[in-house]
Amino acid sequence: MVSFKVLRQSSFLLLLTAALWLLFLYGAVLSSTALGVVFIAAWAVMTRGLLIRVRTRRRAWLALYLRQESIYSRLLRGGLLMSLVCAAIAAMLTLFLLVTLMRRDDGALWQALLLSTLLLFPVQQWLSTRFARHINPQFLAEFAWRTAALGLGLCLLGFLGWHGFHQQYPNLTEASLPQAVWYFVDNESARSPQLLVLLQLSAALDGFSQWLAQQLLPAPVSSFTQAGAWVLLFVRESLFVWSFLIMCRGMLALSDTGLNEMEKAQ
Amino acid sequence: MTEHSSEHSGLNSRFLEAIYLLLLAICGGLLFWQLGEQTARVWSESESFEVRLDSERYRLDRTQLSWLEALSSRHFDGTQAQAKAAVRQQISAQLDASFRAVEQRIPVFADWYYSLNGEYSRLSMSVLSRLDLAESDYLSRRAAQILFPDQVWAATLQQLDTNTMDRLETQWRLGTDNWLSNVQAQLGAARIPTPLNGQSANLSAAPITLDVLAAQINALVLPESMSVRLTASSFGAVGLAGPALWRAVAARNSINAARLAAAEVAVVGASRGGSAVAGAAVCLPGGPIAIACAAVAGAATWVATDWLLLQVDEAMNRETLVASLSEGLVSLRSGLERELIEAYEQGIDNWRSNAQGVIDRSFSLVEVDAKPLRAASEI
Repeated sequence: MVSFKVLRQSSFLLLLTAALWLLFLYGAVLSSTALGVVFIAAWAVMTRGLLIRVRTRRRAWLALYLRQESIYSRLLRGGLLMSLVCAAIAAMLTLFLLVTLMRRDDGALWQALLLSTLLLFPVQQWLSTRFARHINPQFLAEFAWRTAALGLGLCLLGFLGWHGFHQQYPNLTEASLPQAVWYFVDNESARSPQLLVLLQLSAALDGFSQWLAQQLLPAPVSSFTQAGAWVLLFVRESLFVWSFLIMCRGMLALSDTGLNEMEKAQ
Repeated sequence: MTEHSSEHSGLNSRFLEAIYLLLLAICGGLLFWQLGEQTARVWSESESFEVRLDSERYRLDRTQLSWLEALSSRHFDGTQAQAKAAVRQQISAQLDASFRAVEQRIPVFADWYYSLNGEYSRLSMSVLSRLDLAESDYLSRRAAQILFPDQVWAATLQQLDTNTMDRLETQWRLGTDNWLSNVQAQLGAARIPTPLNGQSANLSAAPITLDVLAAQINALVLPESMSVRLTASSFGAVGLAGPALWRAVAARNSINAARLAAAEVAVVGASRGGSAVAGAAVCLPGGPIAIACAAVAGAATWVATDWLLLQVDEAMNRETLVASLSEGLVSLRSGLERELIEAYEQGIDNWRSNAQGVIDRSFSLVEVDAKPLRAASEI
């Protein structure tokens, strides 16, 4: 039978996906204040996820190079400065993720994200059990998480690439760059002027990349340079998947906190 | 007992986990289903309007659209003022030239007035008018014939009308062109590229094409009634300028036509009669040809007396007559100028009003067509 912890963690990830989807549905009609609250909440989760990742990496580095009793182990374990840097990076990632998600009017993508989040923790648990005998117990959870996130992230990225290849795009071969950019920008609308600017910037980037792809790389991949250019077009998708997984990590951390407190109470 | 309790607790736990799993599956399934069904809500409160000009497109919001409408109205207010100033200048210059030519003909009129021909014509027409055999305004009609020759005066007025209308048309086209240039310069920041499919998205109403608006404004013509008023002008109409001038002269009492006519018939006529009798007396000792001699001598004396009287009259009054005619011309000119300017300005005001109507109609159609404000789109 599935453990209570797996169910709880999966529920949290389900809630996260549902919350992001609701933001996608109603983001354009929310006021700037409401969007600000949503952003701060998402930023907190993202910071948490990023901080866990960075601290684990630091802990591994310290364990590798420093003695446990050294004063530097305590000084370099990560404090305010690390938190501030993480918070700054998390703010950018959160902005990027939310704006990207709000422009993804694609049911298949959302379904793929939901499946990923539902599979994420069970896969992590399975990996954790499977490699318990081989991995240092101190880093077993992190290893399981990273492996699960990497596997599912690649699957998600592969799906996005495959899905992208089968989508219909506007024909920009005859269009000028301003026309292409305007075509995407003109379709954006939002109640919040700040959000509108962000959506339009994102749309302009979409327009630019699609125009570039159709103008400069019209033929199927035939050379290493062209292949490289196509890969560059997927960098943004990779960043999107990566930031989404970090947010999932933050959400799981929140769930863990609650679980630990419940266990302590018992 | 403890084993039983532990077993019971385990069963409960598994039951709860099963319920939890079921709920999670239901929620996940519902969410999965809805993810493919729902689409994002669209915010449509922000109204955007498209303005087209010279194959360029500009995207404006409601505030900018109101600003554009106000800018257009202000611009055509300026064009109206410029057109009025241009008309005043044109009319003034043209009337100056026309009345200079009329003034040069005043000595001709004075020569006729103080000639025997003129004298006898006035006397005979005065007598005939008293017998109701001729109209009483002979003098004024004669003044019109000499000072305002029909063809010349009609051509002058026609030329004035043509020139002024041309000037106005040029001024309006220039005003419209300046308006378009001004708008184009001001809207530079709002310019958008041509959409890929030819139609812009998220528009609240059909686009406003300023080229069409300018063409509609340019197509507005001065009311026909203005030209009619010009030709029927009490001052400017052919045949009316002379009497008007004569009335102006008479009104100054420098030369009173009625008084002159009466005096000439009664007083001057009596003196001429006396002179003729005196001349005829020369032939009394002439015998049988005395009658013929008396007739010739009387007539000669009559004419000589008339000529003498006219010379005296001319010496005494010619300058006054010329001065009065000049003053009368000034008065006639100012009256004609006032009337023409009023007529043209009324036409310009009508044109401005029609242009404003075109602008209001174009912009109000857009505002009426604009989608009503909505908080959020339908699901």
